[in-house]
Amino acid sequence: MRVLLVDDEEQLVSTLAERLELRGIHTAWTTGGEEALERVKTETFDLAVLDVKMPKISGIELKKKLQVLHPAMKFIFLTGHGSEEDFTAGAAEAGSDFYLIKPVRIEALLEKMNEVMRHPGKSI
Amino acid sequence: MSDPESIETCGLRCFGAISASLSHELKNALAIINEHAGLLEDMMLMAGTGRPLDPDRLKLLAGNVMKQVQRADTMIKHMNQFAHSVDVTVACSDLEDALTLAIALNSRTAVMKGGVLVLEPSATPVRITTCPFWVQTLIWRSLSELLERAGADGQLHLCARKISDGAAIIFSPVDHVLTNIHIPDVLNHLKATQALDIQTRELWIVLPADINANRADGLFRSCLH
Repeated sequence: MRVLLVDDEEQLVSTLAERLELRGIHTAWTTGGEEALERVKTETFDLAVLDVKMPKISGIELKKKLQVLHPAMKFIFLTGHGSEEDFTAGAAEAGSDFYLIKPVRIEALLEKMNEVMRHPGKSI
Repeated sequence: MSDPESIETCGLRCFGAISASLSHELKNALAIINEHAGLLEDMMLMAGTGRPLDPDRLKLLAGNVMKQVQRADTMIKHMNQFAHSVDVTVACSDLEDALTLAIALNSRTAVMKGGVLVLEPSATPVRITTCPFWVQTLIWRSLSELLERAGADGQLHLCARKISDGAAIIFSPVDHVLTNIHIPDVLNHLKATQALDIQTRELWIVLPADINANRADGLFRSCLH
């Protein structure tokens, strides 16, 4: 599984990527949507884990752009929102049930990643 | 133009928006601490299988955790300062301090909109007697509109300036097509006025030196009480 992590908090995204790598998951990371869109021009990823609130391009907007370029790519959202209710509305707009609230337990993220990848036909 | 809203609604929206923004940022600091703790745990587990620990790496991770604790602590101090702005209806305070707090409270929102808030230091202290909470609401409401129209580099400068009959908050550069911002109730409440200088691209919000002056009863009625 090849994973792309995108979050504007560099220390968060780089550390999370390192922890996924330690678990044998090939992980690349960027701190913004524009960089992520550049990255996918030369690399293929099965799954993108996106922060919802980012400067310039939100996670939800980024998902829509990535989906155009790579229709088979799967998505998980990370959010700092305190209210799950608020985020559910955002995730529904993006067409995904797959999200996690920060701080994230790595076991929960791995579980969610496996869940997403087990549903190849599901439009998420 | 957005629908006119009551001053109470505007104040509550300001409180909600700033609390939401700061809590979101606090979550990020906690998430970084969480990942660093997780990585330290991973490293300890690997050390148990014979992989040596790297002292420099450990030092770096510990330093990062301390930085995030400091970041969160600063945010909580600002949050607390803002929360206490409702404690007094009217107070004599330095307008530049109010701008400093406003920049801290609104920085993340600015970044999300691709902007940067910059404090322009004032040459002399700018002390006025006004309503601390409503000044923050005024700045928040102004920034909400102005950030959409910030300059090419996204920078929006804020400055406090002493003038003959009070003080001014100056925002620059603002879009030359910008008309007055839509905060009439808050302006009235603070006995403030706004003026746009198209040539200098500055928006001035002028506040009286003492909000209690010129009032027959010498008292100021607050919408909070």
